[in-house]
Amino acid sequence: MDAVIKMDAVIKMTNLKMRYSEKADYVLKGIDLEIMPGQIIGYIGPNGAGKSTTVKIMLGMIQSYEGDVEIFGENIKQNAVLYKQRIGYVPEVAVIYDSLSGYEYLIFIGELYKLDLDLVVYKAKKMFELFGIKEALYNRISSYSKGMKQKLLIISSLIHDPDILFFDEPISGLDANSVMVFKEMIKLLSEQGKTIFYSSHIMEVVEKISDRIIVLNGGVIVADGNFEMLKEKSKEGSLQDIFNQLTGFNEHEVIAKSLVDTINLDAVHERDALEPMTQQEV
Amino acid sequence: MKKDFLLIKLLMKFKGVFKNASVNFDDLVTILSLKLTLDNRKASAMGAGKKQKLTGMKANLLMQGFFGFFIGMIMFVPFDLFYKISIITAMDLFFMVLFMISDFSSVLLDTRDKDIILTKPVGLETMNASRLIHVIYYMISLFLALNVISIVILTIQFGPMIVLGFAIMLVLLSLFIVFVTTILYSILLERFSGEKLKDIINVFQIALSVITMISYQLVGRIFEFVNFELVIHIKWWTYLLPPAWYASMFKVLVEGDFTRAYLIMAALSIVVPVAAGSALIKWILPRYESYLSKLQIEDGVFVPKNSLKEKFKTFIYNLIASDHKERAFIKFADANLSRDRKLKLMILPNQALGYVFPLIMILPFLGRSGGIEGALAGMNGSLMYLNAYWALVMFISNFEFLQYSEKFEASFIYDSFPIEDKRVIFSGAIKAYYIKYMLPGMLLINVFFLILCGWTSLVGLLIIDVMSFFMLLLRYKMTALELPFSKEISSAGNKNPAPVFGLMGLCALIAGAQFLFVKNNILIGLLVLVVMIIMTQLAYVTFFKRPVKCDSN
Repeated sequence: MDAVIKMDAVIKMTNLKMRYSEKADYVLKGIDLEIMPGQIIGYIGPNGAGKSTTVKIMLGMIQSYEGDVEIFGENIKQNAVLYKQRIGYVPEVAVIYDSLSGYEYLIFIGELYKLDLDLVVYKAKKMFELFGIKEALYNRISSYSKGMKQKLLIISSLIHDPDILFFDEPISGLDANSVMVFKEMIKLLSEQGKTIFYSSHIMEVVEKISDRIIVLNGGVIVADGNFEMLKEKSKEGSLQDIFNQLTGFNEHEVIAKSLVDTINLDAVHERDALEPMTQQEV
Repeated sequence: MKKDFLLIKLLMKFKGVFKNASVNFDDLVTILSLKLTLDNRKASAMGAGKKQKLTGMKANLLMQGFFGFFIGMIMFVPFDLFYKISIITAMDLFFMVLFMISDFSSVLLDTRDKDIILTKPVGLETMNASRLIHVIYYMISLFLALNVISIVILTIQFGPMIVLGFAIMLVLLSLFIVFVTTILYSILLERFSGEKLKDIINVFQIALSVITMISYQLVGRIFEFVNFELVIHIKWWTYLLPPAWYASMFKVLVEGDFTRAYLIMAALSIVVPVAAGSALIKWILPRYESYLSKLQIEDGVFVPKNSLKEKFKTFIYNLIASDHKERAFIKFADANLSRDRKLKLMILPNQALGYVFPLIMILPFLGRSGGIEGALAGMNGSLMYLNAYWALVMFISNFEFLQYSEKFEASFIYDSFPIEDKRVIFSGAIKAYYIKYMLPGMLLINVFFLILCGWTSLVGLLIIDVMSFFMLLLRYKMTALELPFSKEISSAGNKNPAPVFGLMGLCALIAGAQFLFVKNNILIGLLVLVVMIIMTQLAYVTFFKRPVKCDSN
């Protein structure tokens, strides 16, 4: 950490807090984070830890947060629009205007980014071809498979050559070959100095690609560092094990056993015998 | 995407207006042409749509134009200008608000925009402006469709100032409606969240569409009773009626009538939209996105209630379905019918029409025989209750809607589950539909006609009740239906007209036969009743229980 202090952080969060309504609990309970250019950040945490909320705040989709967020050195509350020119985003759920064709969608995106449209057309064609879905470019998005939609989202997040990328489960639905292409691609992009913010539940991938891993649990950061550092600290073998330890989860065997027992039940009265065991899952 | 939309071309002329505003004109044009393209796509993807959504905008406009023609005809009656404009504005207000609620809620409540557009370098102001312009554009089309004929007639009567008056009213009225509806939605959005909010909006939409559907039926009849002698009395509450404001504006503008009341109200017609607009821009729009995000938040946990109603339902289901699979499908259909908002939006207005239709049919008889009391006395012992068949036609033809679902893709479960005989899905759905929608309807109508026609109608009404289930079974066989909840809702009201006419013909025949041969004869009535019960039982067994060689569904 001390080696990078001199560089300017591309993303900086100070005491970031967020709750969805006055009455609700905080989803984020004070996040402090600095991210340097060229890093691939694995952003992980159990469901409901606040990962998507953090990303949505950085994208300006949520404005009602407390604390400060600076991107490219500018506070995104004051300069809410321009920084988006240099970021790309692949959302977890594929929200898309799917009565458009892939081509039209990319043109639309290109216009919002104020790009040269000839360039957009060239990039769109080329990237569709490279991703192996060339023939789908002029079809309605509603006819795309899950993997094709995901590829379109990836392309649309990159078409303006952004400096920060937010990927939320970007490879879901992609075939194994495309996953390899994608992983290699983001490695090359990060070598160019682009920052990649990668949140996922697939630990094997996060472990392999990330320079730095941030573990979020219950709205706070519980671990931050590269894989070796995390491993040293927690004396566990894989990121999966570290993750389990950090999030205080070590009962997967017990719960799995209970699940199978429940699946195998033939009649309700047998349940009484299982009751004490299933209580642990909370 | 093409940019040769009329709206875009018009907008280009006003480029200068946006120069100093915080709205980016290029983005605005890009977003609007996207929206218009999407609107067009919906229409072409689904063929000729009807109202309800933007899809069938042209069909919608045609229908409003027809209504406009009707209003235009009233303009020939020599009323005072104040009343004429009041009538027009009242109609405009009603249709435009309805349009905002039912068709445009998809625009106002779109959460996709936020994910796609707001993550790009586009300001919130630009996006909101594009939303408003999108809405106002359709408002203007609607306004013109409604009023073009009235404008022509009034211009001939009062001179060209009328056109100016309408131009001003067009701007003020559409702003007024857009602002008020948006504020209304924001209040709802502020108070509620998640599924509950969607339910409330749904109730709101249903109520409004019920009112229009009924008024469509009634409007022609209202004028029979209206007393044409009108004198203008301006009371304190007149100041609260928006139609009166605009009518006053015309009085001042066209007739040069500077009575103080007219001046005040004419001023209101300008002040209120402007005030609403500033309130919207100042307080609501900046927070609108965060309101919208509440649509996606779920608060509270749904705990299944073990209420009396649930127990009663279970009891009924056990009674009418012996097979546990069928019972499961009854519950499944019942849950879908109660929860699927789009489905409810299709069924409920038509259901309401079922209640209203018999009423409309007996209205002329009420007016004729001198006073309500005389009419009621004349009804007693009559065969007027046969009008219940109208309700029957409406209720049964709604059964068709059961094919649709907001989440039609989920119907894969029919294939992935071990269901040997798919007819059980239909028999379950039919029973659930009958209990949920037809039974209460029939009960209400029975009570109504029992009061109106007296006890002599009891046997006749019972025949109609049995007939209702029998006909529902017939409807199921009449045309091939898709499995319940397995079709996409393309445009609401895509009812197949053929079976409706078939049902109408059949009901007319049956009602005629009952009128001629059964009358109020108890003996024949009971005989018919028994025969019908047996027939219904037979039909049920044939349709659902008899083994089939090849699955017909």
